[in-house]
Amino acid sequence: MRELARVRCLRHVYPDRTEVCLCGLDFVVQEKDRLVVLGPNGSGKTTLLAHLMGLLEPVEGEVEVFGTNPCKDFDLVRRRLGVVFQNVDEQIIGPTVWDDVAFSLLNNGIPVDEACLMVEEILEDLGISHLRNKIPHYLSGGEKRKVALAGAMVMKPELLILDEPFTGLDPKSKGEILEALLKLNEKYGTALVVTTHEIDLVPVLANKVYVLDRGNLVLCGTPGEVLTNLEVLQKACLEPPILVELFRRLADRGLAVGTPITMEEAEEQLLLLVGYSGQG
Amino acid sequence: MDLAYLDHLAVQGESPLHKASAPAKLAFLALCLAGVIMARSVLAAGLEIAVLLAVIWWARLPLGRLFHYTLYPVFFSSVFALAGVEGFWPSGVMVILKAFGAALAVILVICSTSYVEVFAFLGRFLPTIVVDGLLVTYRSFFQLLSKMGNLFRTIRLRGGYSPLALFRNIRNYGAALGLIFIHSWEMAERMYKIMALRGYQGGIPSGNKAKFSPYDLLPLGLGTAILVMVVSI
Repeated sequence: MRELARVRCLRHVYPDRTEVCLCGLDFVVQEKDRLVVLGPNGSGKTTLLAHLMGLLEPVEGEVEVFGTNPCKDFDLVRRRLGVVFQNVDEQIIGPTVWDDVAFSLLNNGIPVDEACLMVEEILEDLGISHLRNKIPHYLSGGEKRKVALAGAMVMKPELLILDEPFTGLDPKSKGEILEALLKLNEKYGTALVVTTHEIDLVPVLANKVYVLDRGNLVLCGTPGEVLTNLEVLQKACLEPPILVELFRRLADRGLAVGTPITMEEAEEQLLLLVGYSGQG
Repeated sequence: MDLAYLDHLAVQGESPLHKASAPAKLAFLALCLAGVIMARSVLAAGLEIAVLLAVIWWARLPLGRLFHYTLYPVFFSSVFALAGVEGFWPSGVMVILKAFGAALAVILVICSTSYVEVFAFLGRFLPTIVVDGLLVTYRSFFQLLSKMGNLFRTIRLRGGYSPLALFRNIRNYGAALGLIFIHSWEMAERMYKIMALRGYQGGIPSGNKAKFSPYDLLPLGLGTAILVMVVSI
């Protein structure tokens, strides 16, 4: 697997002298990764993303994206990178949905005919073709999020960075965004780097999870490895998924159960526990 | 606040006038304004106003609310009429009717044409940087408006507004405006970063290029009819 980004023990000082150190494990993103960064508020997640985008320059440490320094080669990196910020309202620039999605294409000199085809394709992928002529500020939160996602994905970037993409969405919209992300990762091979507090979505979304605790990358692993490590999660002020918590309690009471992280695994375990064979 | 309301009327409207293109409606506006300028009698100006009111009603726009907006020019033209036209009342009435007619025509077009269409049309003549500035202002306006609404609501809920405490109200709302200024500054910085990340090279696309449609015949025909009617009276 090709390495797309690496962050090694960086230190950043904001103008108000707030210092953020991201040390511990190396942060590595590989091709086609679906990577989730977990951490409480103020743990440095957004700082980490800003460095990956080349918006901040570290005082110390190393940040490499596509084998180069994103801050120095900003223009080179941003062409291969898509970003969806937490506040999508500020991200949607175009006067209509179509204009916004076409923004990066036309600014990168892609001919209008080709841009039209690319816009239609991504609108189709995300199921928002019917919104193409709508004015963004009259859209719902979920629709705006999808428009921002379309604008970020239209250039078919190798790496897509999403800062808390599920915040403020209802369960249906969360599900739709989750489905869209998995589809884009599958179809275009785009690696995803997502920060979120929606821990219950992590098992479905991620293949790799990092835990940030007060500036330290303290744990990295598969969702199964990370979400069942209650000690690290609690230390980082994170709540484990409700299924993990429930089955851990059942195990503490002496029941022979494992620690499932998805609904399907939990269902399987419960059926085994009640001796249900599935044959009437 | 009313700009958001006018934008809402323009975007959500379904009447044939709403469906006509921006250039056709701007031509309609030019014809109406020419009619207002060329009207020589109270009857001609009055008839033009009657037609415009009928169009507003027919386009399902809220007549009462739009009438309210025209009161500003009517008020100032009344002051001018009272001060400048001595003794001869038809001249004074003409000044007021002309102001009222012009305001109605402008409001009718504003309420049936989204800003986006107007900016796209202007983009054909104005420098890109100016049109981009207008578009970014348009997007930011609605975001700041929502922030401002929330902030003012919070001030009221937290007891920062009292009908009798004028100075305290001024102080609290002044502080809120300062906060909005800081918010807008931060927002501008974030938007700058986003535009850089999205590859802004000068030029926000506005693919909303007006195409001629049968609906365009309506404002063009109506505008011409108004002008002919006014000139012939």
